[in-house]
Amino acid sequence: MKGLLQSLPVVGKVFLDVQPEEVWAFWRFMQDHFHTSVVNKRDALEMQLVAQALDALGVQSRERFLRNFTTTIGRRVYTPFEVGVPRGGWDLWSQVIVCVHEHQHVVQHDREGLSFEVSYLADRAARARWEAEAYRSNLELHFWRYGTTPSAQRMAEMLSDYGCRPEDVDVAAKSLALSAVSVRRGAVINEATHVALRWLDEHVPRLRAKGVV
Amino acid sequence: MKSCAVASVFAACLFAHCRPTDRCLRGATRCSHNVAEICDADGSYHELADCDLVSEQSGAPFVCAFVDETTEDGRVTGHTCVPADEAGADEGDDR
Repeated sequence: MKGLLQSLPVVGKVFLDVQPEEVWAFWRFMQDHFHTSVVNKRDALEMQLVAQALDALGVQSRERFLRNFTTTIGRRVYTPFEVGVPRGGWDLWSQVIVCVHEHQHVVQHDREGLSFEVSYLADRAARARWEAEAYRSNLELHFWRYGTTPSAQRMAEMLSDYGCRPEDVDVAAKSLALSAVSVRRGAVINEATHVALRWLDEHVPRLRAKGVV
Repeated sequence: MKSCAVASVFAACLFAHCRPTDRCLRGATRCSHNVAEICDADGSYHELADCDLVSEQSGAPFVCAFVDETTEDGRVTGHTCVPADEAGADEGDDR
């Protein structure tokens, strides 16, 4: 809804909490740091094929995959939006969050090598772990911005969209809840968040919650 | 043929990120040195957070410790990284 409001001509500016050029600069910084590239999901043939395959397997509808999910493969981040351009479902702050989330997947790729990609595809428990770790960046950024942590349970339930089992979701919820305990005490756990906060503290300190050091 | 089978198992193990079997209860947590670990749905422990790394990134010392808190998600108990000056002496498995 917020993304839709931000995208309105003229009045959309009223709803901008972060400026499009700031979002763009932030993505540029993360890309430079992690040596990644960004590709529009709809323009990528490989994403069209993945979307088709997921649809055929009954995992997710083609349209939903292409419209609602950002995907990272190796060092390529496929976005369903143009960076810095708000649209329905993708307001500007959510573009910042997803940037950090996806770059945590790049950290996983660097840390684990090929076994990250293989286990992500083949092992639902592993996929839940990788996603819980990446969603921890969402949680860390939420704390930086608002001084509170979102519901770990609700965040973990999003893993159902990734083909994870209820028991995987339970573990992810506990993992995120324990991470939230640390984050509320000032912990920065994910590397991508650590890198992102350096930029955000320097360039958009006005967005940081009061009292968050 | 046999060596091929062994190689296949080894490769499968490598790609599946095999580790020694240490069956645990789903959601159990523990501290292993200064790393908080959680038991996944398939019954093996995996890293939740490396508190040494957290210390580096947070600019303050963190240690792995047991916590017991009530949050909007309900009661949260288990091992995670907490500031060193808040840590109790509690360690071991949480089941």
